[in-house]
Amino acid sequence: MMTERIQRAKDAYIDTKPSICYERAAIWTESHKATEGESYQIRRAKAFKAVCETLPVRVFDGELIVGAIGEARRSGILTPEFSWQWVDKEMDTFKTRKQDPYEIREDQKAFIRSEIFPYWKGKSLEEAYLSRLPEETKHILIDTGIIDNDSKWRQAVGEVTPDYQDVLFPQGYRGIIQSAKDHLKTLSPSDPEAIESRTFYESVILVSEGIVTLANRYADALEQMSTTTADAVRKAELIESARICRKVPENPPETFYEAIQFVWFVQLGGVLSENPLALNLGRFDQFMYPYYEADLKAGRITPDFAQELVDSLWLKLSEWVWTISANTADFFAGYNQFQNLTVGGRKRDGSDGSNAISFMCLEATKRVKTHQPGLSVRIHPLSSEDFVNAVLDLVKEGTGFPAIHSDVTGGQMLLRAGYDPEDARDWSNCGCVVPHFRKTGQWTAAVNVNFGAALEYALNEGKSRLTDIKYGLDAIPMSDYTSYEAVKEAFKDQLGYLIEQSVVGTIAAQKLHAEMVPRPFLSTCIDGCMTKGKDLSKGGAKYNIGPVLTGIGIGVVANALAVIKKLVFEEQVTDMATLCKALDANWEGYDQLREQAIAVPKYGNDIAYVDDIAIELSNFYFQETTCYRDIFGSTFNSAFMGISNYIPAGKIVGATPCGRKATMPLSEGVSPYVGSDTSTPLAAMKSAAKLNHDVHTGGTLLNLRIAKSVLDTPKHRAQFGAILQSFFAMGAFHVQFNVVKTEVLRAAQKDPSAYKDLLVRVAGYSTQFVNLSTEVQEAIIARNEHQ
Amino acid sequence: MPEMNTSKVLNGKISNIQHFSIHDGPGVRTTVFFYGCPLRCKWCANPETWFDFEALKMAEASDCLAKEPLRPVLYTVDELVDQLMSQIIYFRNTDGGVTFSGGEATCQPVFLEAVASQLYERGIHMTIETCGVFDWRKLSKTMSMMDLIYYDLKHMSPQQHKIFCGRQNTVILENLIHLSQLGKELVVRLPFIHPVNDMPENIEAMADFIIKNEIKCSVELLPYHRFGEGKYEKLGLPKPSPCFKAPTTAILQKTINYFERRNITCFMDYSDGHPAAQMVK
Repeated sequence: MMTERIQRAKDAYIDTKPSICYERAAIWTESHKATEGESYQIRRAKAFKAVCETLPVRVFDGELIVGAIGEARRSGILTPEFSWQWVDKEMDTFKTRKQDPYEIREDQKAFIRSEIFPYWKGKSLEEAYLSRLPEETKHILIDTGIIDNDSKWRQAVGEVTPDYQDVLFPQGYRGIIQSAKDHLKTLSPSDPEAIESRTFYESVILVSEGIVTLANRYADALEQMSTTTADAVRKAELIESARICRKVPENPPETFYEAIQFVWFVQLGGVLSENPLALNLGRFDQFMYPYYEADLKAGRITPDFAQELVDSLWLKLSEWVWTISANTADFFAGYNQFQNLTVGGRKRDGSDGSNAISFMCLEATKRVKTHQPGLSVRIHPLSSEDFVNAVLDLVKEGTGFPAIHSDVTGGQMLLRAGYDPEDARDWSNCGCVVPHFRKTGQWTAAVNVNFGAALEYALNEGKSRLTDIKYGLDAIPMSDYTSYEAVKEAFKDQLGYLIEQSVVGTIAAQKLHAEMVPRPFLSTCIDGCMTKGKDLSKGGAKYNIGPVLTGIGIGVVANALAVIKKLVFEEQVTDMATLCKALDANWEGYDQLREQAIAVPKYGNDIAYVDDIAIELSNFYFQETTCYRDIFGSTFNSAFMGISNYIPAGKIVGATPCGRKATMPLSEGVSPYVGSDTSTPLAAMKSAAKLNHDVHTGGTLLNLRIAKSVLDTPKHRAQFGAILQSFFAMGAFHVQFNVVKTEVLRAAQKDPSAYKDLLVRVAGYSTQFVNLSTEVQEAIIARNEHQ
Repeated sequence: MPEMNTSKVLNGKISNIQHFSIHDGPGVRTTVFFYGCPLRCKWCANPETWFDFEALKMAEASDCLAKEPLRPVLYTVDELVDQLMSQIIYFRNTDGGVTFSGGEATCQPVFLEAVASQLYERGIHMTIETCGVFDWRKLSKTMSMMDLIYYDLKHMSPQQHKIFCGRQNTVILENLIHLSQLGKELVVRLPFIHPVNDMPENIEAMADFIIKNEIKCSVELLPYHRFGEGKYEKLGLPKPSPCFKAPTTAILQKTINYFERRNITCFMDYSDGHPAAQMVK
């Protein structure tokens, strides 16, 4: 049960529409006007400090954890230093756009257009990026959906996990300031080599003073509020809250409450500094548990109050709205900021790390049901039964949380990426399903690479089938292919080209980031930057891991190649010319051929014929991607993950030989194409596990939908836990279960072909819902509602 | 190597292979529905297994019965074993295995024994669901390889059994005694149907028989459901009588209590979604 306070806060949160707040942008702009000519490092640090000194302080009703991003409970901020053009262009449709609309008032728009944007004209990262990008790359990279990296130049990179364990909690910002001062003492102003480091340390002092100031301003406000509050209980809360803000993040926390407020100030600082995607909380259960344990021992805390604090943090994390363009919103739908928080898994020494806080986190998501944090769990062969059960109980809630990961495979991925074994064991997720270690600088979602587009260019002379515009390499007409092998190789050529162009786009962006948008505040959070005297954006972190290129649509391409192999070259029921006409016609008038194509084995059913193609393509993608190096000399990494990117990626791809129609979504991560895994989830898991997850260090994602009934008794839950362990024993990395609701079952009745994979438990066994008679479907719907 | 040849040429008629079955025995299982049955129970949930295989094929050719789930498929021993072994990682991790069901698996005794032998050598947990109508001499070896036996006992009265199932129960009762001597885990299942077999006389007779013959088993009640009715339609058969109903909650509870009083463990799977089961819970 949520406490009344949490219920009230949640209601207020739900009733608040996401809205844009320009305060941060206004302060940021004024500061930049005053620092012309100074280094970007210092200018950004001063702007941050100015925000901390002047952003209005807001405490919402009844809050235990304080620190507000903007005026409203759900506010998004603007970062014109990255891009203002898209905001200018799209601001008028913010309220009406389909995906992730924002509230914005006319007076706000007028202010933004007159006072903020004019300054940034010609100065934003976006403008610099577009002017520096080679024309050839621009042609396929910018807002095309072929290869896409707009979150790397219209936005900040984000993709960091503050190091509470080793950096922030032990030192506090007072310690960080002292450390910067000590470093400065060792660097001579007359040493030309030291200029950059001196600037870095100076920027660290500025941002550290900034965040401490912000906390103290909250302390002032809370003290003020306490003097005017009549309610004795609330008054005491405000006084305690003020004491904590006076103490952290300046000093190391000593209690659970202090530590959690510290975490939120850092999160808030990160947001104000650059509005980042995937500002992760990391292994929250690991670094928070010692405080909880000490508090319990000292009698300072009750489990209920600790839970209330965790619930409060969940709401704070959800209040911040990530401001993104309509294009980006298509790829990252759902106001999702990807603040990942990972619980469970092994400790650095290899022993099981799940603890009381791990369970509280699962419970918080279960009861508060917020979309943030992105709750991930790590499960290993010796995870306790209680923990796995708690995870599955949360799955049953149908929120899609938590994302479930193999502790072992994640560790293997990090070992392959070059981490020390202890660090590799200490991973947490970045964003959604990227295994990541906090002492790292990395672009974990650098570019989305559209496999479907590469296939189209191989089969359509390098051109889009929808627009006839040439994007790919030259290719022979589809009817001229004389073997399956030749088609496959042509696909690889086109994919290789997209990878190459993705690299061009990424290194150009990396260069510019280091130059124009250094990250002094986030550099204080990452181990290595202080020792090296180097900003995070310039390679300051202990580890620099290469950017991740995410492949989209491997399922569709494997299915498509299987159709060409079988129907054209093995069984010769059709030829390439006919298939080409069918694709051009979007299958109109080719119903029989389409049926034949659909009947060819599909990826996701544990059928070697097509799964082997997927394995080969994924191995190729890995080899090709890891040929390239980024500006720090780190190799690029491959991934098959997804957010909602398979949907926009599908919009630009015409009909495909697997039977898919033009503009329909591609397949997601390593998941089967929707509705094509008609066997069982066990078969889908086996197919997915065949791809070598351990090498795709940027993460892999499998999404499956199941009905609630599959988890309805302790026995079934236990069996499902064992199924999960089986999946991980096969080397797979991640799975997320969507437990379907009655509406989905109703939709499946109306459109069975789109829900062929939907599994439900009937009388003791589980089977595809659409295969059942109407009466039985009704019985199942009734039962689903009953539970 | 004659045995290898057998496993490549010997065919079995299989009406369905259901992976991810979590009801018919422990763990995650694959249930193999064998084709053919010696009984004709009037409430049967799998009537497609009744049909003459050749007749079905002809009917299908004439396109009046082209309904995929109803059509049996021929598998060689090797083919079936390969299909089953694809699930081994799930069997191992969930303490699951293979369940032979039907129709009636014992209708194809040679094929069943060949498949069971291969799985036995691989250490796969095996369960059989049987109606008990089989020649003990032909099946004793197969049964001795099973880990768990579900044994249907539909009625204690030979006459009533003949009326509802098409045959008397003499062989069934004899085979139950044989089986109980194997020392396997044995569950006697009562498809529980009002007004067929839910009366006290039948329940008492069942308990008497179990005790008199010292049969070590538990009893599972399977309240009647109508999930198989769609198949009757597809096959062009009249649906089971609407008079068949699940016994009332009171009778379910009373029956469980009765068996317990006589020191026979009696249970039903409360999770199978049956409304009566929900209420008893």
